[in-house]
Amino acid sequence: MKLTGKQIDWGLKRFLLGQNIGQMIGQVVSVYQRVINIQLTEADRYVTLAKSQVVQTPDMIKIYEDDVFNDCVKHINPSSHVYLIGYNTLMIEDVVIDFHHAELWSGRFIRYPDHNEVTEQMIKSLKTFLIRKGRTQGILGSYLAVINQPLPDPLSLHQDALKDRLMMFKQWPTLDVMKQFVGLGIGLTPSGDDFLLGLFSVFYYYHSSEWQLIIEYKDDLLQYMKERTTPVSYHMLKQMIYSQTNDALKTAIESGSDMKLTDLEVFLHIGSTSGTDMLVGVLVGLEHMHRKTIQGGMSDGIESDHREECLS
Amino acid sequence: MVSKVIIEKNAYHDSVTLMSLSGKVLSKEGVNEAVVSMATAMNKELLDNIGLLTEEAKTATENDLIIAVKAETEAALTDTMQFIDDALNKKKTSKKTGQEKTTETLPQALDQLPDANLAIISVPGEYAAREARLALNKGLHVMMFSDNVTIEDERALKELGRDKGLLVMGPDCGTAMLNQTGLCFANNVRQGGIGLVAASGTGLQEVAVQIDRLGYGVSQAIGTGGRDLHKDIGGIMMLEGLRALNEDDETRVIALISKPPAKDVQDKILAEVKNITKPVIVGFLDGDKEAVEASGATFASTLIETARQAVLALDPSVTIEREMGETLTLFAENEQAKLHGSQQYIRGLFCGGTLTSEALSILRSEGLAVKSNVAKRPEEKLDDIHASTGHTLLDMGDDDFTKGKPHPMIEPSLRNERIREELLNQETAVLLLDFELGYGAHDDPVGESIGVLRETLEELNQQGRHVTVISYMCATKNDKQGYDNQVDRLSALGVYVASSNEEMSQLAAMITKKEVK
Repeated sequence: MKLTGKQIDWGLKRFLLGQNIGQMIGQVVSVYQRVINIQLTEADRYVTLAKSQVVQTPDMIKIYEDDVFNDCVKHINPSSHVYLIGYNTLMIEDVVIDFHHAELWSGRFIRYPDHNEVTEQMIKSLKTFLIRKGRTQGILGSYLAVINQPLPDPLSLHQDALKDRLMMFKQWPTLDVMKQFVGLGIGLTPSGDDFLLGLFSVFYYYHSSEWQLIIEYKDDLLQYMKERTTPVSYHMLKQMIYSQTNDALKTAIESGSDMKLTDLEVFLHIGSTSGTDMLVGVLVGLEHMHRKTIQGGMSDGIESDHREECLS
Repeated sequence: MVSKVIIEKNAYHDSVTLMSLSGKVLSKEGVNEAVVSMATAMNKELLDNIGLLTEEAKTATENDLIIAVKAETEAALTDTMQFIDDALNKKKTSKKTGQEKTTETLPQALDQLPDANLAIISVPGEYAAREARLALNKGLHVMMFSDNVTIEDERALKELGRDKGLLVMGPDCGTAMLNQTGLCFANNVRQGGIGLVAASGTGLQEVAVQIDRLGYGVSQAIGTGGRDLHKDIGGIMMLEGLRALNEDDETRVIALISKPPAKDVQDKILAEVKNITKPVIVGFLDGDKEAVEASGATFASTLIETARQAVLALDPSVTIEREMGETLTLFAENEQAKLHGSQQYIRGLFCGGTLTSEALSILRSEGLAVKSNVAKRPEEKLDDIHASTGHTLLDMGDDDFTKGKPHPMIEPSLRNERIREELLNQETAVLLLDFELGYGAHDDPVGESIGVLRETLEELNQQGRHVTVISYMCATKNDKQGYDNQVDRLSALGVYVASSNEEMSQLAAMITKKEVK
């Protein structure tokens, strides 16, 4: 069976080009309907093979042939070895993955904001979208509870904990509080992690002081995440800390005030609540940036040292 | 108090499944706490907070699934753990009877049932075309409940089906009745001489139900999927269905049901109608009456009229009452008297898409300006499905409402929040609600909404306000949920249960137009 790469993270392609041909480079760790995850042996990287419609993420190879992919999913087993059998060619069991001609993609932001101002309109549009279309079973339910919006169901144990953390973040947006979100939530990428991905993407894009803090303490933060969340989540957040995010977040955040409904609707198809959780992270990040701006923290390029006073 | 914690190594389940399961478990009698989640440190901390972090749970890793339950009795605990196990492993009740076997692929299913001649495909859209192709190549008719199949795939599958002499019903086909067997959503209707081909689910149900109420029956009912009459598909399956019913000995009259087709497709279908030797009724909502009649067929502008015309074609001696009775006029007059000046608008919350379209068509013909999420005309399109404006009709089974959720015919409670909102709205004069009974539908649709109706109507009453609620039950007396019981509970609240979707819509128009004399 042969799979053809449709799109590949250029960083991954470059990494694989530097590996010795003919050697085992990793092992399949999980096989789902739409993705196959591979843990590399020589590097702390998680490579994902995905069907064509999955949102592109760092270290992902998207495949053209969805029907062949369906067949592969049925017989590739977790623990199967992954070999680099030629330039731009991988092999798992009897499946050859050729990514010679895959389109290159980068998880880095292509452009940066003209100015740091986050407008009320951006926040309002995103909030309205989430209230109307977001999935409330994850952190959105907690967010709605914080802003006293009606909820379809009572909060679960996890949502209650996420709500406490959101309230803490609003008051004390410190690294320690952000760490409290890691691994919190029930699925393969817990809601707290998806939220952080959205939040960090905003901090990175707007070069906020919080991002500088994250970079400064990145080694500690990565170790903390590795020990406290699922491998898929850890690698997702690790890529973010190394300045790479997924295609949906890139598009939405780069659009700024021109954010389109279609760009936001893409998130509804990521995981069950993951996409919504990420957007809540973006919303909370934008709200935070806006608060800082209007409260004098950033208008002169100097952030306030009296955050508690400003936010009270 | 007893508790149990199970660790499933390297297990992963979709988080919505886990959330929904946690909710269901917590609502079980005798259960005090329940957590089903991945074993991250933070989640284990939460477990510790509720006293369920056992030694084994402490050793679980981020790749493992934790199932933790605290219950009042040993029996409740055992029952709950079994419930969770069944839900996560999708064990079927057939395990107890040993009569049904679960298979994972079509070839396996055919090994179990070698004589099967029809496959129902209900898998995510991206896989559906492949499975349908496989079934067709194995000589099976196909009914595709799945949606999100590309139009190119749909056309290719229908062409393949036509070449092989097989039906391809769907994608997004929710209703069919073949050889007295209801498929997916279907009502228990009499067997008879009227054959139906429909590009709409609730449209087909409504016509079949009305035929049954007139005392006649259905031979076959073939669904084509809503896009069959799109210009890119060209009505392939409606044409095949028409030809099949023409050759079917049991069928004496044929009725076609659809929203208006593309002009080219309509011409193609009407050209084929000319070749049909049996009487044909064409029930195209907002359709082209002249073109239909020029083909020799009888035109019907509403679903109930399609049923009436089909019955009349079968038995010209039958007498059909079409006028609205005096009782209804009195009802409308009484209701009008209870409304305040600000209450001017009709708000319809439908489960059935075609019922919404039909109501829109009827209200428009009554001269009302209506907005709807199923409207095709630009001036009737609703800007924001979450905010009603003027007369508003909503198909709550539309994708915008059902992403990641069941269809309201399966889970009617999804309408409840909006029912309350519309009832409390100062502008609402009449609230319209449809209910569908039959195979595939919820076991007690009225029961799911009766609470919110009762509470909100009482609240309105205490405020000295009143809103007219009119409902329609798309069902026969023989449907498994019990028609009378469903109707009685609505009537007890003062909700008027109309005899058809048409009557419900006309009555609403009469009340809001204030033209009752």
